[in-house]
Amino acid sequence: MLSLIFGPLVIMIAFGLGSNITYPTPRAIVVTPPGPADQALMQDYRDQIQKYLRVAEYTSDGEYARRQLARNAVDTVVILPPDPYEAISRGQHAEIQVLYNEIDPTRSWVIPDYASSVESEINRQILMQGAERQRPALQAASQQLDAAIRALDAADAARLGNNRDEALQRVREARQSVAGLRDILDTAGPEAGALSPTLGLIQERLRDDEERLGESEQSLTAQATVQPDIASMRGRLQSLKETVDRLTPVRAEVLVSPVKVRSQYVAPLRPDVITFFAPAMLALLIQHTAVSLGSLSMVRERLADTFELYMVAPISNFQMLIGKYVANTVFTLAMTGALVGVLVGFFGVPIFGDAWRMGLTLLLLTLTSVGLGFAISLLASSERQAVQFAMLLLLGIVFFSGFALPVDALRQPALSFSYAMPATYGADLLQDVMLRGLPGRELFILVLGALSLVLFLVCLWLLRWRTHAG
Amino acid sequence: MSNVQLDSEQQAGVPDAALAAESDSRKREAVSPTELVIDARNLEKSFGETPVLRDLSLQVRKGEIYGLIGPSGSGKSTTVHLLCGHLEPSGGEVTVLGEAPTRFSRRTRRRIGYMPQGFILNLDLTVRQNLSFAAGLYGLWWWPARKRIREVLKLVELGRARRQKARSISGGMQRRLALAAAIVHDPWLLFADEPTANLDPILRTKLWDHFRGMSAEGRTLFITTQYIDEAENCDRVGLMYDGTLIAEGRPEELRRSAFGGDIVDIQLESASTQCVDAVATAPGVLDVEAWRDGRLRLTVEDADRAVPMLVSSLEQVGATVVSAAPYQPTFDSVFIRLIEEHGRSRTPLGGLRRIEL
Ligand SMILES: Nc1ncnc2c1ncn2[C@@H]1O[C@H](COP(=O)(O)OP(=O)(O)OP(=O)(O)O)[C@@H](O)[C@H]1O
Ligand SMILES: [Mg+2]
Repeated sequence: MLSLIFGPLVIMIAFGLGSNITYPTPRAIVVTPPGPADQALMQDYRDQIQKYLRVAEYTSDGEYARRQLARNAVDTVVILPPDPYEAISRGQHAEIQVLYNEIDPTRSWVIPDYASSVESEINRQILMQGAERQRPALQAASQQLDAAIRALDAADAARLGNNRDEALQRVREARQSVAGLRDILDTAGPEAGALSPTLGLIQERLRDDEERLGESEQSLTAQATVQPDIASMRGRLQSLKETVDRLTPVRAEVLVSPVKVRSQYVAPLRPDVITFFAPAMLALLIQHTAVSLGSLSMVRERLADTFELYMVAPISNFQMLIGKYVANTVFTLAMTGALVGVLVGFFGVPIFGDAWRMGLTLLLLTLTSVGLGFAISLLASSERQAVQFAMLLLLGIVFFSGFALPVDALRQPALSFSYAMPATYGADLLQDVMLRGLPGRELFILVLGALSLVLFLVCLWLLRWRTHAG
Repeated sequence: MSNVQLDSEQQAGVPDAALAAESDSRKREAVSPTELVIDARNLEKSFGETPVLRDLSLQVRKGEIYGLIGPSGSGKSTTVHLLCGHLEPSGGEVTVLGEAPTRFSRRTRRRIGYMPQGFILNLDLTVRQNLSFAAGLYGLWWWPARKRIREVLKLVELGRARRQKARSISGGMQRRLALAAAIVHDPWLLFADEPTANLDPILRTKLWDHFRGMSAEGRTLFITTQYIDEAENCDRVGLMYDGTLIAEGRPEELRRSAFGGDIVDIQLESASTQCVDAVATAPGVLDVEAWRDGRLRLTVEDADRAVPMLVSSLEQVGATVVSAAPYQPTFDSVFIRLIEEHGRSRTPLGGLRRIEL
């Protein structure tokens, strides 16, 4: 009897202390390319890989690494590309190969998941480095633009003062600044390089302006056309500068990952493993205890002559069944009380919801489970068979009541088994009441109530059948 | 009565208390039916195709101890099951306390105690708790139950062991505890299926003392046993064999019916043909066996009256009587004889016909 109370407690404590929701870090062998490599880049790779994998060793022997993987000495092999930049410059992806052979279907996502994390991290890193490299170039470009704009302003002033030579000189300076700017942007990267044609056009126009200024002795009309042209070029350079200036202070990190997701947890508490599983555990233990107790209670008496005694004694089957229900329910509820006490007192599992609602759920779950146990004990032809039935039901709860897999991840016919287990309803209701502070699904309460009633009637019928004079 | 019921008409010349009771039973139809606690007529029971009880009739009156004796597998427990309502008879009629057992009213159930042959105790409970459980089963309230349990424990001598687990007491104690559970509600009618099985002779005697005490209080007991010598303790005995009663009556009547009369053993200094003739022709002597060493075994109608008369006839012919006394054959030999007779003739009363000679 004591083992019935302490057994579940010990299991619960062991589960709470021993379970670990984070998977162990996979072990990896990293295959580095043979020969010289970009040491800085290799270091980057290593840093990134070590965030997710426990690197057992670095090797350049790919065959050896594959053999280790096949022997299951490591979980994964990571093969680094020989020269990533070379591939990139050819317009291709630089490929990091990740080999793995996880057979556990619930974990097979781990390595690919980590790999894609490594992938985006390395990509980000590369982009960031590129972006960091652009920063001084952008600053230089801004200076060049400034100089060009100032030169154009000076040229305009000189022209108005009819100082033609001076104006010509200043326009030439502006054109040189634009040429310098073009050089800077060309080396800064492909995106900046995209500006090159525009700048080329400005250069062309400034050269035209120079020529017209040179000719302007003969043609006043030609001179008149220079003035708006310079103004327009200045305008363009001004807006270009504004763009470049706006880009320059933006941090490379933001530039590379402009959107960042920030998730926020808003439930009343963030349950740890034991807290999260506590309601399901409670439901499981209640069902299992009640079913085990119930399934044995009447087999033993049926196989002994005690049932004959019941048949002679002045009690009806109904009274007898009620008596058995009361005894088993009281016992199971006492055990449940102890379990809830340990969960709340020792593990700090909260109960946010209504205590009455929780009590009702526990009572209905107990009644249903007791009924299930009695039905077994009235059907089984031996104690051993009753125990087997009870064990089968235990397996049923573990697999179908949201323990191994969440119930909503199941499909038919497994789902039918789920909803044949009182513990499924119990776990769902208890989770709502305890962890979310909700009253729990009304439907599930009704189902449990109906189940307990139906099982009572079934047991009464079976009992009549068993005590019927043959 | 189809079976071996002793027929008092055939014994009319023998005024005997037993026979007086017997003629009572002859007039059974006239007896008020309430006097008949158990009335079973022509019961049949088969399990599937296998007949287990055949044409079984028996009547038990108030205050009687009825012993159903028979070898293993003869159908004793099946009979008890029919009388308690666990089984429905395949044929015939039965009433117990005026009701059909399968439809006992609650009131009647309260008046019946039943001690099954099999196991009924809860080994994890103490002796007292087991009795409390039984008391609860019969609807006794807590306080009266407490008192009654103390009494019953004293009766079966388990008072000291009351706090021990049923598991830890001996087999004999468990049997007595089962009996205590069957009588905790002070029943009027007790069915006990082999209550003395596997008990030592001293305990068996004690249990029978309890039974006699209950009977003296006017309770009716229906007890089965495999121990033939326990027949002595019963008011009436039914001998069950192969699913039917092959003999029924008071114990001494059964003895008579087995041997055709009373037995008298006489030891002479030396036997002669004269002596044998003298006793053989004496009135009331039915049969004589003589041995060379001077011992005579006579079957007589009534041993008590025959002995002094025989002694004087023998002395008249000059014989020296060393001893002369009625001989009580053991029930073992009685039953073996009855069963043999049954096997030989298949006609009941075979043993009794000789009395008519
Ligand atoms: N439920 C049953 N189904 C089939 N056969 C049965 C059943 N109960 C008893 N029998 C048979 O009926 C016969 C009489 O059984 P019963 O138990 O009445 O004998 P018994 O005189 O009580 O024997 P014992 O002294 O060993 O207890 C046996 O041959 C047994 O096999
Ligand atoms: Mg029996």
